[in-house]
Amino acid sequence: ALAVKVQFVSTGGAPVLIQSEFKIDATEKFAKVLKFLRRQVQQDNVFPFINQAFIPSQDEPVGDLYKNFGVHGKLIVNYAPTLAWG
Amino acid sequence: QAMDARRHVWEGAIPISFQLDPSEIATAPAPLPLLLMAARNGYLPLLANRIRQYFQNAVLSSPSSSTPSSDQILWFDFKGLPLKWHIPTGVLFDLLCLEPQRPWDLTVHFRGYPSEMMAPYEGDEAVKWSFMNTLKEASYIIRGNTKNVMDLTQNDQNNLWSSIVKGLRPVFDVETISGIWKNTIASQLSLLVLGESKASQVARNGKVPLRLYVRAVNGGLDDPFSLAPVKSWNEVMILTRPVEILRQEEGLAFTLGDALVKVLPQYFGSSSEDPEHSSSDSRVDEYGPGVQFDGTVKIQGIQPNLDLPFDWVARNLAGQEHFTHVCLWVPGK
Repeated sequence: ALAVKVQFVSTGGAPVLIQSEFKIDATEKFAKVLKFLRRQVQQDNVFPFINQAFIPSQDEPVGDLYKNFGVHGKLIVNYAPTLAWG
Repeated sequence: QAMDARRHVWEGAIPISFQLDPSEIATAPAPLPLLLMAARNGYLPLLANRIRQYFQNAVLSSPSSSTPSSDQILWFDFKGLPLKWHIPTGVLFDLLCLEPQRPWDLTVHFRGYPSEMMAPYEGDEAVKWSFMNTLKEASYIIRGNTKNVMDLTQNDQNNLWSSIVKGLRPVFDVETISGIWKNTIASQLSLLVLGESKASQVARNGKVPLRLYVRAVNGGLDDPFSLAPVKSWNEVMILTRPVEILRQEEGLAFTLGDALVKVLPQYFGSSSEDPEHSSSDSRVDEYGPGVQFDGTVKIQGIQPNLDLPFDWVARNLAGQEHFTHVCLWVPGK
């Protein structure tokens, strides 16, 4: 199965991850990515944005997000402790 | 004709009969169902307050709280399938009821929110947030950034949202280039689909936001009544596939069929060898020359002719968040 490289980028004082790049199966929904991120940073209060622009629907497959919004071979997910680009 | 389409979309409301889950009824006799008209381009949670008020005296109180139902997050099911609240009501109806049921019989629950299946919404604010993010995503697809949405004044945002809540045709229309929507994503979409030469103003991406809901159906689609109801969301492929409108040869429009061939080539055959190019073949199928399709397509409650120009479809049948939602039933393997 196809895997997508997801890069988490911390902003606005959110905890920085030692390992920030992960491979996630293309068929996984964004909800899984968010759940994964929260577990990695060990807090629920993180808001993920694609390319610093928008929060995708929980249902969107990672593969679609990468296909539509990926840059340089990765899906960039910025995360902030607040609604930074809200 | 375009005005009629927009009016159809905006005034297209779905009559829904809400029945309280029998296992949650505390009173005898059981309450009658509540009949409401739901806007196609609205969201079910926006009806929650009215529904809660209507049923709250009949609902079994939960042991831990004194106000029986104030904290419960309402959710709905159709024939056992929990309804995803972030999908517009009209799309849910089209997808789950190929043969339209009037009124649409839904069951409302005050308890047991299926949070493993979908994130809960905390009131209208969460629904607005979801809508605004989808709008931003559309803006990003159309012009490569979300500037237009971020630049909306608080007043504009409120007006936009309030038109969704009320299920009214918005004051700002894609057709109106002047006024508040000038230089916003609605006008950008218009520029894009009208093929204006102001190419520099149009997105780097320059694509039309499209969302597809695909159900594979075994056996034919001859009898929609015999179609088994959806038992799980695993049966539906939900895809986001932005479509670039390709310049066609002189006189030929880029059609809805052409767009679908591009995004789902495995289901849409073209009469020509190369599925990438629409054919000007004289072969005539049910869906018009050039595009072969054995299934069913529904957008905003209608089964459109696949020969319709795609830009017309995008301009007139999109939701207010600027996504065009397409429901598809394809023959199963």
